[in-house]
Amino acid sequence: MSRKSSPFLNLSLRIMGEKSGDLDLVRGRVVLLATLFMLFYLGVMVRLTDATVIQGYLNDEEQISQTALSAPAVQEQSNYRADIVDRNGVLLATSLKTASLHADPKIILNPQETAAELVKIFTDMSYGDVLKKLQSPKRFVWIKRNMTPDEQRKVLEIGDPGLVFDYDYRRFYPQSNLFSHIIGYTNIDGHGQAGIERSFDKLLRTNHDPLKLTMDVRLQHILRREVQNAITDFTAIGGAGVIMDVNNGAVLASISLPDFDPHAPKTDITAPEMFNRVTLGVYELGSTFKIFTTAALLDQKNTNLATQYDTSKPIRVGNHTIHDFHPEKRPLTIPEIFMVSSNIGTVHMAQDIGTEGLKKFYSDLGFFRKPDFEIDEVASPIIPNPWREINTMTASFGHGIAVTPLQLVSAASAVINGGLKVTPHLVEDGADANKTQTRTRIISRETSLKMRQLLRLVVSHGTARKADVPGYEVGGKTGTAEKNIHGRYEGDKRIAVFVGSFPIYDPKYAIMILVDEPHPNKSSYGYATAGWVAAPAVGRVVAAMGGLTAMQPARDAADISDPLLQYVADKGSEDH
Amino acid sequence: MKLILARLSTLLVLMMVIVSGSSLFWVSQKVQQLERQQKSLTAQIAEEKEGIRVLTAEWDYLNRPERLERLSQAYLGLQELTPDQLLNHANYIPLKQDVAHSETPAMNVSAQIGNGSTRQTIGANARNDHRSNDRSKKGGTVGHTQTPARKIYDIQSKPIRENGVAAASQNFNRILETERDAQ
Repeated sequence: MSRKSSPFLNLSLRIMGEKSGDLDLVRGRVVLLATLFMLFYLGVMVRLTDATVIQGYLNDEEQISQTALSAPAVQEQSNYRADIVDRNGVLLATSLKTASLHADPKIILNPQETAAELVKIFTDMSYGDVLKKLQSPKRFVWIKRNMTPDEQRKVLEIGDPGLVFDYDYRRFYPQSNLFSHIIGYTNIDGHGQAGIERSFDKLLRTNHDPLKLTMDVRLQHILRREVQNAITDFTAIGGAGVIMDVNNGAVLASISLPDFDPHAPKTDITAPEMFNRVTLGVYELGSTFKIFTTAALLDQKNTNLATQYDTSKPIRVGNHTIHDFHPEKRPLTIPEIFMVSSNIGTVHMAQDIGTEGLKKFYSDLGFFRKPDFEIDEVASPIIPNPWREINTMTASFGHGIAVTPLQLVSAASAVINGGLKVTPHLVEDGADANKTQTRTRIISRETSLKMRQLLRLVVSHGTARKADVPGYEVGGKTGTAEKNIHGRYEGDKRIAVFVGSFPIYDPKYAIMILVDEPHPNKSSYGYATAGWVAAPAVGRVVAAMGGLTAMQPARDAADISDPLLQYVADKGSEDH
Repeated sequence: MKLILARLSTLLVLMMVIVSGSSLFWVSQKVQQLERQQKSLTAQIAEEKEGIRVLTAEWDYLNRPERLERLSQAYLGLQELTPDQLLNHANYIPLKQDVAHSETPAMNVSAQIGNGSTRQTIGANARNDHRSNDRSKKGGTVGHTQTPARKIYDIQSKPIRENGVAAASQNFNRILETERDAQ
């Protein structure tokens, strides 16, 4: 090798003289540059080998698992919402991944042809609309949100490169209409618009654990079926129902009919289907309020059940007259007044309690304020303001005061369960098992027991005999009230309601069924009162619930209303 | 000698460089490969989970109470349990008859079973019957056992198994009706 042919050999060259220092410096730089270039090309070489030979070889091995990469993983900003489940873990709402189709009009090959193909797949779209979208100057247009896998396959078969899929979560409600008012629904961007979906929107979007409700799909179904039957039988315009754990206020079922499909809610939110009668409906609930008037009298005045009140004359106050539906025209004992649902007798009882006493009791029961509940669709009660003497009288039998069915069933639960206030709730808190929280007492245990007897008497001998289920001892109170429409009562537009509990000797469940504007049918002999409309529906619900929960019927147990019969003169009053 | 040693050590170092370099390269490749594998497995798991979600939703959709009720009515003839069908105690279940001293179809049924257990069954029935007779003699307070044993016998003479579940529930309803009549 000659010296000149290899630059590396020159490296040993020593140059002496004045400028030798400069030359050494230059030489050092040349070496450095040469080394850097060599390292650079070496790097390029290694990377090339890696990218062409090695990667190619490795990827062959991995081909099996490549398919899994085709569906992209969940994006950070997705519409994912946590599941909502019932008390047994049955899905009420879930998020499923679906494909959405959008297009980039710039790279659509043949807009006319593609539009024609798309219209064939999505029959609800018009050709003109799609074509307009595909020819728009934008780079991004939505074609179809959340399609089915079958639709996706067909779109893939069109094979236009301008059609792009986007994967996201869509809310799905396996129970369809069954929970529409409680669960609510979401909009297309996955934001809760009503019910639990709205009130727990943030939690459902951030926390991925399922949200467990106190409700039970099976009880909900039974209740809905029977309310629907009552509506159909009596050609009513709607109905509502609640099943509640009488001891802790857990709502097990809550129905408002008509209802809607949460997958396609009505665009008009004032449509009757969208209205939750249980929490938004404010009704004058008629005779069911006699439960509270009677409880107030027994608790505050410690009145003897044998006390008689004269019901022979209608009560006149100003230009109002209070009279009975079926006048007995004689002095009645408290159990008799309750059993035959005498308005006159109840007004006399309210006069004994006094305005302040009754107001305080109603306020304790929670009738004077908007109830706390886990969904936002809750209405405030309508309370007379100012409250005059006449208001005490009418409120004692449930007129002139309008509350929601949810308030009614909560208040009745408190009277029935031994006198402890209950707060209705929908979300299982896990604290049910060890009830250590202090509970507010509203009435004494003794009064509660008397009220249970009275409620049982109404079912065993009074207006609600059709609610009875042998073995389960239902107790409750009927109420039939004329609807107040724009300040005027209309005789043929009524609310028929039954609120009660079973088994009344050891209450477990509170039940309320309300039927809106029932009309008499042949089998009810021209009646459309609660005893004919709501009570039988409750009876059917109780029978079905007993079988479902395998509750032991107590056939041989003594009727707890028997001791009251000594105060009842006429034991066979007419159903009404 | 020194030169040879020096060259040898250079060679050794060179070889070590090559070996360690290539093994490092190999390891890094392996890591990348495993990372890719892990990524694809994670994606697969996510996919499976999504599949499970869909199936769970479908399961709950297909098990809607309303649908089960409809299907049950259409194909099984089963109805909701009524409170009448819930008995408070196992003793309230109507007892089998003593086949030893009466000629009835049920005897033929047990005879058809024709194995060693038949005798035992009959023996057990006899004992049960004895007990039930005792109770009816005492005029016991339990409603069901007051039913004449004969009636229950007639109902049970039809082999339940042949007619399937629907017949069984029908049979049971008939037993209860008989009970109610007797009361």
